Amino acid sequence: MVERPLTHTLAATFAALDDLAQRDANARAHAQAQQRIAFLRDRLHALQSALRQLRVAVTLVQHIDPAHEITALWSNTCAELKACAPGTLHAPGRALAEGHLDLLQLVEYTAASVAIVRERYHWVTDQLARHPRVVALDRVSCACDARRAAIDTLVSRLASAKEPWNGEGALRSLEALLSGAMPEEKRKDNA
Amino acid sequence: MRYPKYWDQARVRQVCTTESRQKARDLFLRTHRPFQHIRVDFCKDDGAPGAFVNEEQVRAIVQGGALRADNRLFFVVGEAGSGKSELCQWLEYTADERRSLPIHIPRSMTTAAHVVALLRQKLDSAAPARALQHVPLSTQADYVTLSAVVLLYGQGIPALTPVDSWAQLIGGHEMRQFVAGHLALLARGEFAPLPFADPSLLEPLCHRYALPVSSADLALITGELRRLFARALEQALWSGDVRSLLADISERAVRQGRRPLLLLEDMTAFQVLGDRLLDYLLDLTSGHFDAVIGVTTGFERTQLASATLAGDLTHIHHRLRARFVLTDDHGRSYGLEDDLIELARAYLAAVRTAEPSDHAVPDVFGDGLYPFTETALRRAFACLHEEGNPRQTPRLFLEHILAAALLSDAPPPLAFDRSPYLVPPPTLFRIDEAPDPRLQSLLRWYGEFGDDAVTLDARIARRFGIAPPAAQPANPVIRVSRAYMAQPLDSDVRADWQQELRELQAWLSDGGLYPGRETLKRGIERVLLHLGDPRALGSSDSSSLAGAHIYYARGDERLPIYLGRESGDQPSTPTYVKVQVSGTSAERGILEALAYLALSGAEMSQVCHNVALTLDWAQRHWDAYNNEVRTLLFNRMNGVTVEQLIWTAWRLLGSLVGAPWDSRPHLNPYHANAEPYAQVSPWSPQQHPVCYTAGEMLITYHETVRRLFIGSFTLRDTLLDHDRCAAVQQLETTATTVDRLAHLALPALRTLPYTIRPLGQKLYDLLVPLQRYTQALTQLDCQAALRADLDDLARKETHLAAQQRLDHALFQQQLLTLRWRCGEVGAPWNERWTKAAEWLGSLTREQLTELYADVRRVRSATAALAHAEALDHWAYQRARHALRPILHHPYWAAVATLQEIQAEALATARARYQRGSGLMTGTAPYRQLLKVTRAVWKELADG
Repeated sequence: MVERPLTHTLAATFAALDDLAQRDANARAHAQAQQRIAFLRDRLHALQSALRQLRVAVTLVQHIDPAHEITALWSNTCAELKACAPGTLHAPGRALAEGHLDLLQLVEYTAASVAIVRERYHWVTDQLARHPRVVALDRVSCACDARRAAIDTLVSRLASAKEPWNGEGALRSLEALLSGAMPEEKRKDNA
Repeated sequence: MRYPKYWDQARVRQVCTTESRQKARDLFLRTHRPFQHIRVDFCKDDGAPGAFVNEEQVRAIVQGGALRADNRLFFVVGEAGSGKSELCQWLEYTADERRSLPIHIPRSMTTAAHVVALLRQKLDSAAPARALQHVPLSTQADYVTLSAVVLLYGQGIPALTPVDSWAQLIGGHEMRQFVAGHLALLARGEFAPLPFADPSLLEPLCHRYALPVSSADLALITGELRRLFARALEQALWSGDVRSLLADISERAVRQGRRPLLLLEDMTAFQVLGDRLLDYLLDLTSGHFDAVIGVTTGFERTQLASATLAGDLTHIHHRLRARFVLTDDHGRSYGLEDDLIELARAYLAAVRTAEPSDHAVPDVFGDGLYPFTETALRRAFACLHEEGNPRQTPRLFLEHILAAALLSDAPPPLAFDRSPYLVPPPTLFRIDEAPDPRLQSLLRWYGEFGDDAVTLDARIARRFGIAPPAAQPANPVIRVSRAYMAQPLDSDVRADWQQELRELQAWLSDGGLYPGRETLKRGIERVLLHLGDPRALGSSDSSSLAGAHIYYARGDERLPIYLGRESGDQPSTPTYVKVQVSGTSAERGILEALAYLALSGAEMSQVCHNVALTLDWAQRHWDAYNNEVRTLLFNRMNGVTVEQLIWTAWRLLGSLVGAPWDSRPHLNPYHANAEPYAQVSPWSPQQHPVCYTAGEMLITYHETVRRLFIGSFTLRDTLLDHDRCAAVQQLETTATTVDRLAHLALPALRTLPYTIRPLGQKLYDLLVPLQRYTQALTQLDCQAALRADLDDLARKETHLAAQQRLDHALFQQQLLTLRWRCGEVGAPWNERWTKAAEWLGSLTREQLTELYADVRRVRSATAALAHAEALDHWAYQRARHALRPILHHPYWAAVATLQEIQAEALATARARYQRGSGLMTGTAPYRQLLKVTRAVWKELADG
């Protein structure tokens, strides 16, 4: 049996209901922010991966042909990306919580950076696949696309390798990859 | 004791012989009374008369056949002694000899030799030779003894063992010589006794053949040997002749222009010969006989069928021409009752050897009936019995009424009393007014029964030398009061009423087994129930139709009555009480009247000699039995009387339904729909769960107890019987009664033989909830319960005190908001909530103030009660009823509902709303994001 006026008990009930509603709103916002974090993190992971691949591809070119004009591409790319990086990249909390323009800039930057890096990487690997030295490694005379696929495979391995690698070893691996890419009938003919 | 007689014993024996054949023709015709009622079962002759004919018509039917018609058979069926011989004899004497040749074979003529001899007489000297006529007698004797030996092996009794030894005796030369001598005598037409007719012949023969025979078996063996030789003679010598003799007689008679009329008195007496005769007659084309055959009823049903080759009584009946029946299904001769006096008069006239002088015999005896009167003869005739069954036949009447009385030295009434064939009529008068047993006998047989007295002409008593009662020495009419008044018509009284009264009087006089005691019990039951049912334990003064009562229901619907004096009844037991009737001499007249009351179905005022005395006797037995029934219940109920039980149960129920009373009971019904138990009960399901549940079970018997109360404590539906109320209040110490009821052992009461009428409920079914409720009451801690009530009141008072500052406008707004908020969080709103919210919304400050004041007042009163020394459950119930307006005020229910709504809203919100928010930058995903960002930046920086 309550010992206070019924208006008080009702007011207390309403306050408790308000509090519960507020907590509910907070919880919903929190859940949305977590989703944004996960989205942005995936984009940054993709950028990081693309950068590593580009760096490895450029290094391979430098080893094969140190005088190749492509060798400056890596440093130019890094400089461009650093230059256009938004200010909230290093402290994205507010942009993630509020979800306004800052968050859009972050998303746009990461998405555009990934596109640029991947485009350049493809150009580098194309050049590499046409390089005479690489062609020379191709003893089975594969098509250019096959060589590019072998180079992609090699780059991916090297980019994810934790130990340092050398150019000759990489070329031997490429040669092995290229011989592995030979079609079966051609391999019989060679034999 | 002698009295004037006008006959001698020899004459009586001559006239009253039952064998018609033994009477001379003249005597026969003097005593013969025409048969006026002979039932014709069927008759194949055209133009046969109706269901009943007289003897003339029977004769016309029998003699109505054409001369050359085939055999015509007629059965005359009746009980033994019903007049079959008489009819045959009359037919012989009166047959038209121009058309018939009567051949009467009487009952006494049962051997084949006699019958053949009789038949040969009818053939005169021109009879053909018998089959064995040319055989020497010694050879015939050998043939007969050999037949007897064959019969011994086939039909011998155990006493005739070893059979081989007895066969040597039977077939020995001594017996052959004896049989030869018997045949020689027969051939000469002389009397020839059967072998072993003289028992003394057997002993030397047995000695000669070394056959030990004890003297005890001598008669049995002699009789059996005689039977064997008789059958052997019959089979060997005579039976073969019968058929040819009958054929010869038939042909000869027809040649004379007459049909032979064979009158066979009694078929029952014949054995092999009877079968042969019947076979001959049933072969309808074998001759031209008119055969009248007497058959007893039982013999026809059981024996006659097997006597034919077909073995079927129907086979015989199909060949009958007609079947005449002399007695009805009860063994009474048709028409004899009407002709009884004339029959007696004819025989008495024939018996009389001297005519009394004028005025020597009082005319009160009737013309020619001395020493009987018409009343005595008819009464004696009605009392004729044979082998335990009533049997009214002429033979029994002549032998055991007329002859027995005339031959006795004692006057007829005393002779009647001694006769084993007469069951004396019951004594219908007060024997204390006629103490002389001879006078009692005379009154029983000769007395005239009036409505209130039995009368007798004093001249009859004087004639028999019997003195009239001392109180009326010179009265011309002896008058003795009846034991009861016999107003009803005789036709309304059961037929065996005399037998019933005889049994009652024998029991009253000597005690012992009383077979017809159910009749007396019905009479006793009737007079007791006239005062009300003593098994009903209600108020006899209550005239309310709504009343019910506790009823002792052991046994069936009949009132259990025990007749003492070793009548054969089972006495009362501690659990099966009965009305005790000891049958003392003082009760004799009353009990006789009650037995007749049951037999007649009449009213008490029509039967009872003194209704007041009878009712007084009944009232004493009623009271005694009613007290026994009450005491039995009292003992089984731990010393609670039936009135205390009903009074206490009604008081408990009154309190249960919110209408408590202490000294002046009410009779209000209870309507559960209008007043739910939870509202009217003093008990709370939370605070007093045991009392609440037990009370809920008991309340279903409210109407039962109300009707019991009306049946016990009211005069009419709404008029209390203050005397009975005051009486039970004086005895009543309710605490004790409740305590006793609480300690009832229910399993032991399961077989309690009491019901509640007219509701058809068992008392046990009421006692179960009553015991449980009283037990709950006795186990209730009233002080603790009262303290709990005070605590509750204190909480309520505090709550109400807080509400005195309630902002009603805000409260009303909040109630509206509450509904909206419930919708917001998704708590479903229901109708009950609406009512509560509306009620609270309309609550005024004045209402709250008034309720607050009431609570304070009740709390003060209850607190005062708590300080009282004695607080029993009645006082506590009163306190609870005082609390009911507070406890059941709608405010509390509305507040409880309001709390329920709030709780429901909060619970729904908690279930629906999400939780778990916190700082985003502190989460692991955010830290991983920063780590990746730094790695990218480092890559860019390195480039």
